[in-house]
Amino acid sequence: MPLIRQLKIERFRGIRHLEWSPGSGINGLIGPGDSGKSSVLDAIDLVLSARRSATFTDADFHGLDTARDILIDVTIGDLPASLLDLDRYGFFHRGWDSDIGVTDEPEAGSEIVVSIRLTIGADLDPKWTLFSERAEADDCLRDLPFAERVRLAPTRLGAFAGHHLAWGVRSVLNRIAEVRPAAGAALADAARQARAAFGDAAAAEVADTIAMVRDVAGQVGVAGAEEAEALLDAHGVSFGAGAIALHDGDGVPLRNLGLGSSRLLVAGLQALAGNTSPITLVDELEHGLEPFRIIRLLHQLGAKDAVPPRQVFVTTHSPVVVRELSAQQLWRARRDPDAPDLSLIKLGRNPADQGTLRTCADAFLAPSVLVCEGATEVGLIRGLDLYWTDQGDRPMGSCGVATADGTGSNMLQRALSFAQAGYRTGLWHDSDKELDAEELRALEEAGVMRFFWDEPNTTEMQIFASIADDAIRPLVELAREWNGEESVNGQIRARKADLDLAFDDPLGYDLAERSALGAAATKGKWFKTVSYAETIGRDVLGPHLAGSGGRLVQTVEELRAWILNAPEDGEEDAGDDVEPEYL
Amino acid sequence: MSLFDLPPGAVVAPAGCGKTQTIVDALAGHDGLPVLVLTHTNAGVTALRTRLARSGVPADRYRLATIDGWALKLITLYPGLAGHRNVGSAIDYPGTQDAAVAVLESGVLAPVLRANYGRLVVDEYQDCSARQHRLVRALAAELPCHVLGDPLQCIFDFNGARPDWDGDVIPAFPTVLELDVPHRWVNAGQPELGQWILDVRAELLRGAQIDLRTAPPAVCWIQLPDDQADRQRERAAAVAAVRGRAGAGLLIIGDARPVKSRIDFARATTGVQVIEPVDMSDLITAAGEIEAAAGVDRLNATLRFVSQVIAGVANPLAQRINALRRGPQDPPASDVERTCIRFFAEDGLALVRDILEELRATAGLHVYRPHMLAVMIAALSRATARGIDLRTAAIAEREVQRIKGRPLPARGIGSTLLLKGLEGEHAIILDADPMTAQHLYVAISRASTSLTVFSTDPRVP
Repeated sequence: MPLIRQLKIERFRGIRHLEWSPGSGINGLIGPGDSGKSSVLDAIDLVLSARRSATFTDADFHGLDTARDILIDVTIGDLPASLLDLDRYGFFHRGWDSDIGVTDEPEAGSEIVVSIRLTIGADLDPKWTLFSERAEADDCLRDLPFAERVRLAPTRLGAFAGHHLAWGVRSVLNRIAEVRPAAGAALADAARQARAAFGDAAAAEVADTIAMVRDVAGQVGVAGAEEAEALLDAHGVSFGAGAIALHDGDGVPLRNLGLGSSRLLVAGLQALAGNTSPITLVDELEHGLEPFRIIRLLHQLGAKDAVPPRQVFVTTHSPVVVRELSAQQLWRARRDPDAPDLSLIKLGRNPADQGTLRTCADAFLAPSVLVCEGATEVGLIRGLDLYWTDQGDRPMGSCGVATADGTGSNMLQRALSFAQAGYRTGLWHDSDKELDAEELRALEEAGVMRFFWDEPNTTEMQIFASIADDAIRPLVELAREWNGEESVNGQIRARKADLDLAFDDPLGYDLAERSALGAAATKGKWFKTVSYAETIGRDVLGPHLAGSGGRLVQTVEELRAWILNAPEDGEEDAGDDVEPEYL
Repeated sequence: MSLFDLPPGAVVAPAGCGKTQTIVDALAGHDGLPVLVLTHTNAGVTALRTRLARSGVPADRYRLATIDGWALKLITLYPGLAGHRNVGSAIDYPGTQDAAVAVLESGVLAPVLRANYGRLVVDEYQDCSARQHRLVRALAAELPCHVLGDPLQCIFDFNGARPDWDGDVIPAFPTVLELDVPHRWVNAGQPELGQWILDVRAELLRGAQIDLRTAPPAVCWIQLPDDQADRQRERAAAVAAVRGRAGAGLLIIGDARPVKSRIDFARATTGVQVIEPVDMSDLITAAGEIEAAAGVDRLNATLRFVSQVIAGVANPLAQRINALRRGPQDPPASDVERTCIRFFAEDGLALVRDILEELRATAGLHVYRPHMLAVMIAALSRATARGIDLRTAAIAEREVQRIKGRPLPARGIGSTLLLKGLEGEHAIILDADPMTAQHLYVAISRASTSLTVFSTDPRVP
C-alpha cells in the first residue's frame, strides 16, 4: 500500500518549515490550537488529491509573504509496480532510508520512493509535478497521470458526511459495490404517482384565486387558462439517484444521525471502499462521538492492527484518543516562538512513556504540565487556583497548565516523559525522601522545574510548619470533619500529649506543636484526597498565605509565578531545547 | 514449444535456421511483464520491430533497444548512481557501459528491473564485447535471460576484449537449444544445400578444412586464375551466369580490404552495384568537396562525384561540355549538358542536384553506387531547403539511413561484414583464400539457391 514516507512543508499558512517522517499506521497529531495540525492535513490533501482544483489566496502564504513560493513535498514509498516503470518514472525514482532520509537516487538497501511537489507562487496558480533534483536540474516537469492520482488520493473524513448516506454521484456507496441503482423507471413512476395522488388537493384552499384566474382568462381571451387548476408541477417532482437515501428501520433518514454516528458509519463504509485509497485524513476524530465510539472508530482505522492496513492522519484534542493510541502513534505539534518552524515530536520513545500516557492523558493536551507527587498536591494547587481566580488572576487552565498525578513513585518518570516530549514541565514533590544525584541531573537536563519544601517535610508538614497561626484551627477542624474527631485527636495526642485540642491559643503555636501536627497529618493522611486538598487550598491556604511565612510561601509563590508565566498558547519557552526525533 | 519454456541459457543459431522467428514466436506467446529484447544495431532494432509488427505481436509484450542505447538510458535516468555523464553529443561508450554495469551489479535497481521487465532476450550474442557481456550477466542476475548467437558468425573486430564463446559465454549461459532446421534453404526448395551448410559447421568450428568439390550440386567451385585479366573474365562470367536465371537476387562477397577492389568490380561489371558501408565516408568527403568549391571547380567536383557513382559518364560529359562551350555541336546539347553549362553562370547546390537527378533518370547508364547517389541527392535537397552546408546535410541524411536500413540492390557486392544478416538467392565468393572459418561460413550461408566459390584450392579455409 503506498504511503507517505516524508512530508516537507515550506511557508504554508502558519508553518514556515516542517520536515516530518510519519509512521506507517495511524498518526495522531496533538498540540495547542493554531499550532498547524490541520494545515498538515490540508497540505497532504492538496498535494495528493486527484482533482487539481484547489484555489489559493494570499492568506495561504506564511506571513502573507507572496514573494516566496509555497512548497509542499510528499514522498511516497511502497510504490505500486506502475510507478516503478523505468521509462516513465525512472528519472524521478529516489531513495528512502529511515535513518538517512531521502536521497535523490536509490541507494543500496534503501526503498525506492517518488516525490510529488506542489508549488504555489505569487500568481496563485498551483503547479503539481513529480520531483527529483536531477529532473529539476534538467527543467523536467511532469505530473502523475490521472489514473495514478486517483490511486493515491487520500480519503478525508471531514465535517460533513451526509452525502455519503445517499446515492448521489460522489457517494461512497457507489464505490463499495460495482452497482449503481438503475431505478430510473421506478423514480419516474413515483413522480407520476405523486402528482396523481396530489390531484387537486390544493383546490379547496386556492379556490378563490382559481376563480379569479379563470375570470381574467376569460376576459383577456386566453382560452387555455379558462379551465385552470392547481396541480403539482411536473418539474417540482422529479427524482435523481441522489434522492435514494439510506433510512433506518423506522424510516428515519440516516442522514439525521448525529454527526458522530454519521462519521463513524461513513468511516466504516470508506474502509470497505478504501482499497483504492491508501491514506486517510480525519479532522477532530472525536467530534460527536462518545468515548466508546471514539475507540471503535480508532479500531476501524487500524490503530490496534499489528500490520496497519493503511496510513491515517488524525488531529485530536481528546484524552480518549491519547489514551487509546500508543506513544509511537502520537505526535505533538510544537512550534519555536522565534522561528516558527513546526516540529512533530513522537511522544514516546521509552516503553515507560506508555504508562504515563495512559494515566495522564489529559495532561498531554496542555502545553505546560505540573507533575505533582500525589493527590494532596494536585488538590492543593487546584484549590489555590480557584482561590486566586476568585481574586482576579488568570486561571491555570487559561495559562495552559495541566496537572498530572505522579502517584508518588512514578513522579520522576512522568516528569521526564513530559519534559523529553517537549512539554514545559514542573515537578512538585515532598522533601521527605532524598532524590539521588543521578535523578536530579536527569531532571535538570530535561529542563524540569522543581518545587519542593524544606527537608524533610512532606506537604502536610510544611503547611503546619509555616502557615499563619489562625489557619491552624480551621485545618484541624476540617481534618476532624473528614477523618473523625476521635481519630484525629488521638493522632495528635500520640505525638504531643499536651497539645490543647481546643486550638484557641491566641499566642500561636510553637515549633514543637506545629511539628507534631504536621507529623500527625502526614501519618493520618488527613488531606490525602484531591477534593480534601482542594478545599484546604481554596478555603484555608489561599486566604492565609499572606499571613504565612517560610518555605511554604516561597514555594507556593514560585508555583504561582510558574503558572502565570506560561507562554502564550502555541508557543514554548525558548529555554526548552528538545531535540525532535523522527523515528 | 516456446523459447521461454526452456531454462535460461544460450540458443545456438546457425545462419538461416529461424533465429528471428524463434524470437517472434516466443514473444507472441508471452504473458506478463514485457520482455526486454536487446540487439546491437539500430538497424537490427528496426528490422526486428518490423518483423514483430508484421507478425501481429502486440507492442506491449516487448521493449526493443540496442545494448548500448539501453545502457545509456539507464545512466541518464540515474546519473548519480552511474557516476558517469556523457558531455555533449560525443558518447563515451566504454565509460557508459562500465557505469551501467556498476549500477546493475550494485543491485540497487533490482526492484525497478523486476517491476518493468519479465524476461531478457539478447540477440547476436557472438558480437558482444567483454563489457556488454558483463552488462548482460548483471541483468541476467535479475531477469530470466536467453541469449541467441552463433560463434561461427563472429566476424567483428574489436579493439577491446571479446569474450570467448566456450570459455566465457557458455559458463554464464549454458546451451539450452541448438537450432538445426535450415529453414531458409527448405523454403527455397534447396534442403540439400542447407543441410550441407549446417553439416560443415562441425569441421569449421573444429578448425578443420572443408572440400568444396564434395559439396552438393548447388555449390560450384571455380579455381581462381593467377592472371588478373583472367580473374576478371571468369568472375564476370559467373555473374552473367547468375543473371540468366530467374529470381536472380545475387550477393557478391568481395574482399574486406581494400574497399576500392569492390567498387572497381562493381564499376567494371554491368548490373552489379555496391553495397555501401554504414559510415559512407566517400559520400561525406565528396559532399565536403562540392560544398567547398565554387564556380567551375564545383562543376568539376560534381563530375568527380559522378564518376564515383556512374560508370563511363563523367569524362565524355566533360568533353561535351567543353565542346559545347566553344560552339553548337551535333548532336545538340542534352538536358544534362545544358544544366552543366549553366554552371558557368551560377553555381548553386540546386544546380548540382538537378544534374544528378537528370543523370539518375537517364536510361541505359550503369549506376554502380545507386545508394550513394540517392543519399547525395537527398542531402542536396536538405541543404537547399534548410540553408545548411552540404557536408552537414550529408551527415544528417546518413544518420537517417542508419536507422532506416538500406535497400538491397538486385546484384550487390559487399564484404562479409556488410552482408552478414542479409539473404539472397545466389552468392558468389570472389576470393575465398584470405577468409577465416567465420568469414567463410558467413559468406557461404548467404545464398538459398546457388553458391559459387573462387579460390586457388578447393579445400578451404
